[in-house]
Amino acid sequence: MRLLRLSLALLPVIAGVVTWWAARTSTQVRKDPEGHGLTIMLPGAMPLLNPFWQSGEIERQIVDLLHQPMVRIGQEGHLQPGLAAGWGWSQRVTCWFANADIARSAAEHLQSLDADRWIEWQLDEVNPQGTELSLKFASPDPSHPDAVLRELASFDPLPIDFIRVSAQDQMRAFHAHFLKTSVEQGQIRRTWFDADHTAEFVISGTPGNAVEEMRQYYESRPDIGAQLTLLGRVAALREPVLEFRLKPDATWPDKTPVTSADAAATARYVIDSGWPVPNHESFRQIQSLDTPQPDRLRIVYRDFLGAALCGWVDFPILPASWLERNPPDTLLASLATQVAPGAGDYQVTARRGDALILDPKNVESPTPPRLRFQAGANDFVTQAGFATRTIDVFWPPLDRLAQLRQNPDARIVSAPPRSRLMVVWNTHHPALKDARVRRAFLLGTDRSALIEDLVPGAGGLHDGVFKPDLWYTPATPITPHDPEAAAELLDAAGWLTDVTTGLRKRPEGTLKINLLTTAGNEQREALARLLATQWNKLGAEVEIQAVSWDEMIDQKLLTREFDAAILGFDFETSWDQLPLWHSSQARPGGLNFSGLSDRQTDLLLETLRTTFNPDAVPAIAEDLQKRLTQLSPVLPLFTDLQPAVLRSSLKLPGPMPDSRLTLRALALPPEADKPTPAPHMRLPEKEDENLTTPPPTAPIPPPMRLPSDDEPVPPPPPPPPPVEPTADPPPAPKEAAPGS
Amino acid sequence: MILTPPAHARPSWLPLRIFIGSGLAAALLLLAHGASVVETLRLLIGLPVTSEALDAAHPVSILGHSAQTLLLMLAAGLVGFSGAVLVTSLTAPFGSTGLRLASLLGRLMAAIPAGAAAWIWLGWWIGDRSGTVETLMPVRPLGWEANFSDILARLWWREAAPLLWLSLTCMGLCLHTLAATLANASLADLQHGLVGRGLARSRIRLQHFTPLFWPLWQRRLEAIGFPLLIVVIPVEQILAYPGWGGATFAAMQSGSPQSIATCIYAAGALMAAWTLLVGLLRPHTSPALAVLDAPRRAALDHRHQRDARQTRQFGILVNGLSALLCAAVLLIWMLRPSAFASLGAFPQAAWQADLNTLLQILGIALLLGPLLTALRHTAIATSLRRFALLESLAWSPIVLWAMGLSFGSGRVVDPATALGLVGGVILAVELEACTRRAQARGYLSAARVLGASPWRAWRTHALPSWLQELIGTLIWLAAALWSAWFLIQGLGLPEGFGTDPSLGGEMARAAGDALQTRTPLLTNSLPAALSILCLWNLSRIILPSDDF
Repeated sequence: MRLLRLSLALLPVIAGVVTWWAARTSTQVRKDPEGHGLTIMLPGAMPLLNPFWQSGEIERQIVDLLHQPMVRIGQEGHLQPGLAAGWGWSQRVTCWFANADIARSAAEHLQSLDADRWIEWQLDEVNPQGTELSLKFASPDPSHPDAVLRELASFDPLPIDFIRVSAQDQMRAFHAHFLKTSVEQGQIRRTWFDADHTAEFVISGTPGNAVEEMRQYYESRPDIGAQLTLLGRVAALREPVLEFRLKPDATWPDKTPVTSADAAATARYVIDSGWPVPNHESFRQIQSLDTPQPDRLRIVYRDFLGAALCGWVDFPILPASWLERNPPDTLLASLATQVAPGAGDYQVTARRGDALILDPKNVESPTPPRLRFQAGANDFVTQAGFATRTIDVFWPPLDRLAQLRQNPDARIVSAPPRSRLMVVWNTHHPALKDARVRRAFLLGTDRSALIEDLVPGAGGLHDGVFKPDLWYTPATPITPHDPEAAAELLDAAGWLTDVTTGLRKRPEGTLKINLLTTAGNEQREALARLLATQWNKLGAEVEIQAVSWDEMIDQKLLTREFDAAILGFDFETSWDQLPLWHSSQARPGGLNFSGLSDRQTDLLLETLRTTFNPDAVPAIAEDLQKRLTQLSPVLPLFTDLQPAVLRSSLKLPGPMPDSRLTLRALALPPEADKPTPAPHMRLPEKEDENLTTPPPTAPIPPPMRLPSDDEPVPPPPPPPPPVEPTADPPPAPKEAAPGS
Repeated sequence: MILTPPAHARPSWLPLRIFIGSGLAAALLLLAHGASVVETLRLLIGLPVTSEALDAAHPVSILGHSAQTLLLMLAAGLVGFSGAVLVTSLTAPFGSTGLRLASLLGRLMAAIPAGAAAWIWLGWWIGDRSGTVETLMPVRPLGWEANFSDILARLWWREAAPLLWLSLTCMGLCLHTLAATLANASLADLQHGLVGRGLARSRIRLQHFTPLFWPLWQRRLEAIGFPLLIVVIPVEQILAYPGWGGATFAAMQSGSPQSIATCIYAAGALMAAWTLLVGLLRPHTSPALAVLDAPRRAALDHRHQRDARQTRQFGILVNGLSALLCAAVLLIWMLRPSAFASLGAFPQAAWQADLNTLLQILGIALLLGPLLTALRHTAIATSLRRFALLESLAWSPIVLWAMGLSFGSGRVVDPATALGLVGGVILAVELEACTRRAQARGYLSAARVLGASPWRAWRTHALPSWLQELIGTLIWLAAALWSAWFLIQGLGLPEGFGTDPSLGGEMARAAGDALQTRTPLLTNSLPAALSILCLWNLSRIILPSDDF
């Protein structure tokens, strides 16, 4: 009994002592003195890690660690090789002749020409295949083939028609049926579907036969509602070709090598499923994807779009076998239970509920840290983890930023901005058509105050139209808030202040603006109110109109029935800005919502669109930026910043400004990202390739090459079998060849 | 101390009654939210053991959560009871004063709002000491540590953190129960007699006093389970412990009626198990009561009244000191706000709103309690009295039911009204017991025999004590229900349930900063805790002999 009483009395004491020991030991163990890795607390739930569409910047950064693109943007903002060791542009020009003999004669004629002329034309290969003659140029410059085509004019190449068919029903099924019954199907050289209701065909053959047959086919089916349009006629089909050479050491987590078939399968997967990957417009322009060798990927585009390379930037490549097992309609369900395998620098070693552990794939020196992600924790748990040094990185709520800035152990960093908010002006508005007025509103808007009121600490200023921190992005100075200068500009534009009302007036009326914003989006509505307050001080009468997103786009912006609208745009890596500012897009229905129509801008946009050399982009981009700054078709408000808190005692792999810190920069040393000496890479010479690449698995007919002086002319290759039109075939460049 | 059921009104077959009662409450909740009869019956037979809308990180069913929490509660009960015995044993040699001080200490440990105390402790432990709480830390696979003792420490600390807090609460409740009953019991004469017979003091305590008090302690230990069950909710939620409390919090925040009903149903099972297990701890009986013959009982009554006076004086002293402290703080706050600049503004609006809410709760209880008491004296209710329905209701975790009814989507009543209804039921039971005690004393019969009218006999001999009991019970209820109100507000109502200012809400908001600074949380929780203590002491002044 005494023992029982003693035990009863000592029980709480013993429990307390053991608990104290356990708490102390647990705390010491959690300190992680050996630096085993980084623990990162994610806001919200554990992301799905969808390689093709991420719900936020954090998921994008994790996906970036797991998956390797062909080309990536390095930490310095330059193009860097990912899976691709190199890439290069070329041009394929195709002509069709009445028969194979003429095609062969044309090829022999070109072969007989002097070698200097081939060099001048940058002509690499001449390849006759039946009635088709394919020419390969080393440069995508559309001016080079002109001289060659003039040489071929005497062989009477067949004209090439571009036909566009628009229908109310599914085009693919009808076209497949048409091909089964068509007599002239061999004349359809390329087919390209734009969505499901429109297709474009490249037809070359006896003039009119195939076109007439197609016309009769669709006219006999009036319920389809098909309309045939002849877009143009040329003598030769020009197609830009992008070719990648893959790194030999790139492997999947199961150690199998990454091949060009994987890259092609990933691209086809995205094209077929319609995932809105960044720069997806460039994928729509793909005519065909070929994999001549396991480490070679050749992409033929239908249009001369220099920024098409950007479609492959940060575009994750997945194994073809995995994509085959997980078709697009089951992708989300698959991702809920598994992580798509990637060829990135990290791989998933554990995924359990709200926990995710990534380990570096290749153990290097210094070893990249293990990354432990935790999700689903509330704010207190996150703070507790940071205070106990068990969490190294987290994304705080905005209202805690001010407090965290005073914490010496916390370092506030952010990733590069991904989107921006702007006010789009309707440049046809009676008052806003004057660039001085638009400029005055820019000067009179205190954007820093907007950030402070709406997203304190989570917004940045950027006045350019291009994505910040890229190699071609011009350094655009931030326009300061200058109400006096704004007032002077308005005075100069004839908008004088009415002393009774304080509003600016001209004989035709008051300076009145209807500002559109998105209904239901509280932040946008608050932003509209703040803008209205600031613009009122300038003397403008602002009426806020909140409409639904669909109504804003369909009934206001696309029809140009608005004065000003608050819009958000994602930054894209592409330097092609033509859809947003070109006068051809200014008509109702185009994406140039501002209605800007400026010849100089158009020329710059067109030049930029057809620029294939990334090194040439910065100069043109700078000119375009200057011009757009002068015209001020939009009022840039602020970009998004997603502030993260980093333990200040963490040792980073390399120096990195706080405004550009990503998980990749946090985990991997910058050296891993720049084995390339220059941002723009070319394919290696053919002699080098033969040393590093395995021989092709199937014999390829040798193309005709420029013979050297001491080399006998090789016999012509046997005529290839007739090429059947593929089920889902290729191109249709729209510009007509000069001289055709 | 959230709400302890009246120990003197314990019905028989209590575990079964609690289980059935919780099932009926869950069914009522489901039916009120439009569930079909089939779904409700499925719940009652235990089929819909669902984790829908509960914490997705815990795939274990709610029964698993409840079993874990039951083990936690039992361990906390054991540790808390042991601690209370230890402290009582240490203070008993100092006589009734020592026991009263121990009782006051027990109140302090139990009465301070659980959430605020936990947050403050966590803030200090994590923020200042960089200490870890395993359940709040990122997941770390076992085996990370170098040796077995580290793994053992992690595993133990994971369970010990909630156990520590629950043990403190439980120890406070047990300490108050043990010390208060001993302090108010006039055992000196009995003890002298037994000592005179040559019995050792330890033997007297074990073989005479313990069996004497055990039936009362047993009922009170059973009753302790109910506030403990409510405290489990914020503790598990704060510590992210995967038990019934955390699941219940998640269910209430989700507003899913089925999840809330399931949790209430599980709560009934938990409490039934608790009362059943505590009931099994019956020590061997002793004929100790036989020594209390009639003359000595009369002497004990006299001593009892004397001790009651001392208790009242002690209560007045403590309350006076508390009131002086509050007045001094408020005075300095009003005259020299700069002295408290670091504490932030006094939450005056929240304070006023909470006072209004308290009056609303008490008003409803004051209306419902006497009404139910009166109804119990009708013919139908008298015939139903043998089923002890009202007592059963009072012994069910009705505070939890009230929260469930208040939190569900398309809620039935607002939280204040629900708490008022709870108070009404408790008040009715207390008033019924008070009436019975007045009738049993024989004063009324004697007055009637001497020719007094029924009204005069009642007014002269019963009404004063009846009113005293009514007011004392009402104030005690005010303290208990107000602490429940703070708990509800501190847990945070789901979105769309209104954001009226309240001290509980302020506490929840200040809790977010607890790692950096604890003063705002202290500013909000201190007046709440002090007011609860003052009310409780006030009830003790009015009813010194009762042991709420």
